[in-house]
Amino acid sequence: MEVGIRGWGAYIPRFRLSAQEIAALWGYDSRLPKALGIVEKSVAEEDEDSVTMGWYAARVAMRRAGVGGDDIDAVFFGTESKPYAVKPSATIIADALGVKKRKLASDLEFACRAAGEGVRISVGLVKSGLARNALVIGSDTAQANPGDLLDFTASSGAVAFVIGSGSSSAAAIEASVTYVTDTPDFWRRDRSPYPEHAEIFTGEPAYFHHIVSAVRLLLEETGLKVGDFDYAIFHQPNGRFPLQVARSLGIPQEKVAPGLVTPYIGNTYNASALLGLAKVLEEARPGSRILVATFGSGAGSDAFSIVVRDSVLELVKKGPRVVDMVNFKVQVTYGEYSKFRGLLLRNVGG
Amino acid sequence: MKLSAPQFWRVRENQYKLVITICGDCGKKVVFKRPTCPYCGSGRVEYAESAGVGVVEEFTKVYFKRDSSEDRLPEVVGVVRLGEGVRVVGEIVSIRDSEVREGMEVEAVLRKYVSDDPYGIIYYGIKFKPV
Amino acid sequence: MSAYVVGGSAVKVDRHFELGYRDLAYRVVRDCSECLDVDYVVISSALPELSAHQIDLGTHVVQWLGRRIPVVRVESGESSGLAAVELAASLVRSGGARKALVLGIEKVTEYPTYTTNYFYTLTLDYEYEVLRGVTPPAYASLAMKELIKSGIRRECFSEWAIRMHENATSIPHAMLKFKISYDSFRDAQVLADPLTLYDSFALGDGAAALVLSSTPSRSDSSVEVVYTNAEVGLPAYARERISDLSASTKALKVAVEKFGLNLRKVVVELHDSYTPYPIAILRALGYLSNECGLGEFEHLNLSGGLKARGHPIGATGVYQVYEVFKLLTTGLGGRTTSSEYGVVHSMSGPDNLSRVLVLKR
Repeated sequence: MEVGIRGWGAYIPRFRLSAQEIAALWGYDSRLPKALGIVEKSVAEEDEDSVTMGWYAARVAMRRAGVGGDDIDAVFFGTESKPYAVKPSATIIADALGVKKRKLASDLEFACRAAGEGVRISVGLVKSGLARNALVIGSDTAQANPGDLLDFTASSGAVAFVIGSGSSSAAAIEASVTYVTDTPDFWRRDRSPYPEHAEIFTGEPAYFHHIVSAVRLLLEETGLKVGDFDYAIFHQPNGRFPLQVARSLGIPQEKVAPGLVTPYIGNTYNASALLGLAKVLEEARPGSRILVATFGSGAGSDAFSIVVRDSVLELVKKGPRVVDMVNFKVQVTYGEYSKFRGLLLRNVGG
Repeated sequence: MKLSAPQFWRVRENQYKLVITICGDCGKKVVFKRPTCPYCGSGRVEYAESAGVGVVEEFTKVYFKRDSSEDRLPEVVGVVRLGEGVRVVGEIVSIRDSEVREGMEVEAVLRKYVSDDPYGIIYYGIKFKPV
Repeated sequence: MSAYVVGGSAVKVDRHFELGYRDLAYRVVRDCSECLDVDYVVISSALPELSAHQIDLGTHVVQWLGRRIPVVRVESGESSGLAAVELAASLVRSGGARKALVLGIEKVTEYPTYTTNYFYTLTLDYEYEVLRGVTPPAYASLAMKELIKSGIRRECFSEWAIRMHENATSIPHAMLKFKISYDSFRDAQVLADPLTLYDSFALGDGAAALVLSSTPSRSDSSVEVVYTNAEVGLPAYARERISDLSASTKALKVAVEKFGLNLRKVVVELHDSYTPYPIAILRALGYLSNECGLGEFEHLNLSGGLKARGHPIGATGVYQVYEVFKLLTTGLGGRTTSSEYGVVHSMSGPDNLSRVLVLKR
């Protein structure tokens, strides 16, 4: 049975904060944004959170897939910015989209790769017959300590996929593998408003080691070579890391560039690599093979081999495209960003 | 402000979706799932879900409010004519307030209405953003 | 049986920080000898649960007044005051009471203005309007834009406010006893574009009392309640135009036709929470052209209206009836009229519910 992506959807908030403004405000050298490969980042409004953005992406994904609430048997919500620390977000989205009551639904947390694991769980459910279709959502309003390096990239966005079987899929998920270890490169303790990271430790032993390991496992298991892939999409904590990891795997930059979104919208955490996948699905020719590797601190990576099917051309037209959302933007000041994201200490409820 | 959990839970269908009541007697349509037709009083009603797309017919910019969502001021509030023909009030989001125009095409989005910060419940519901 | 207004009293609408609900009640009946010589009390107020943490306000007020008269409290949003008069008239007419006291009391200064404005917003549908971000000024501004689009000039709304301030200067219990001009609107604070603070009512505490009796007192100091009516409108979003105030228009039209009234000639008090509303109503009734024409009314909101006398939300209707009663009898602020009839209109929200009451000399 071929299991694949029957529909996809994305959401990128319209507002953007320029990396130059962040650098100027916090006293960084003006060349830093370029070194990080970041131009600007998307900023969610006051009334947006991972649920509202995830709802939009999921609604588009269901529309593209041509499925209704009765057709969805599982809803997985991957996020590290849950509106409620305890109380599922998946149920809010499912209810608002009219997904039937008999279903699986839960929030998954694994830093930036929970949604990646959600896709693999969904593939398993569909293959085993436990679910006909599963809705996977990756959505984050990423937090960053103001002025920290993370402040340049931590942004907001969402992506969603309907995973199911059948010949009308946009793309087939032909293989996938996950590589996970206990590596404390980035974390947020309970009650802490912002995450902490181990700076250079987030690179080689975390991001690079896990992605490269997952991709090598995928190649071993499938017998594919890097040259067999037309596109390569990696988790994008900044604009540089995905290019560097591609280089170490021997993948040319032009295969990575189409799936790069972080330079223009920042790191959307659980949406990051999968938002790149959504963008590539909207541009790729049928028959193209896509390598996707997520990464989540803590740490782990899921590598997927995805083959684009003919239906993709029709499905693209059924919803807004990632590139249009990237370009439909309005600049905000750091002051507005602070107001939008609730960073100012105010007396409320008076 | 203390927000009630059951009060919102009870009406969530009308907040999460744009449900339209269609009168089986006078034939008129009105927004929200309701037991009777507000125009003729008939209880012979049917329901349909709106596709969530419409046009801004009227709008204003609100400068004063106090309900825990005042951090969004100034807020653009409008009357949207849905594709199904009914009018509904709501906030217009994802815009600079100078951008809003009568006749502007909008689509429904789920957003936060109010929240009982920092420990209480969050009410979500439909607003509108430009297509 | 009939119902007559035989007495009354009113406290100045103001920021009475030193007076609570029961103090205001005491203040207004203290100078009204006939006020407590009644066998029923109907209290109207809209906000005590929200602004003073008090339910069953009526009972606590009567106990504070040192009486054991049966009491009921009426809450019908902004139209509470007129609803209370309507209920008291009905009690007296039916024989349920020989004499009834209507006591309108409201506190709007217990919290900052933004908080009281939020309470006031709750006259709208909380679940389906307030949560969606709609406020009373938002609806009023949409109504104003519709009326401007239909040909009414902006100056007509300003003229209403200017006339109200002018009228209030001679009213002893009015809140805003100063004049304004067209210039005032130029830099006025915007509430909801294009509606400004000067298009909005004045928010003040207040208390007003009326005594209704089944028998008239001396002929020159009582008036008969000859008509009461209440109409419920459609939710504003369910209308084709927000400014289509069909409940108010219908209620007034029925009264006008029943008694053959010309609103340009008789004493009239209209609910002018926001300037677009009375303009919309008078236009729908055929009294106003695009050129406005407010100057043709002889006794229109001589009190200064909600705009300048002030709007102590649940007490306002009682003020309105008190003012018309005084104008038809002994005079108000030095003014008397020869009008035989007086018409009082009150509504809650943007015509969600509208009441009309007619007094006859």
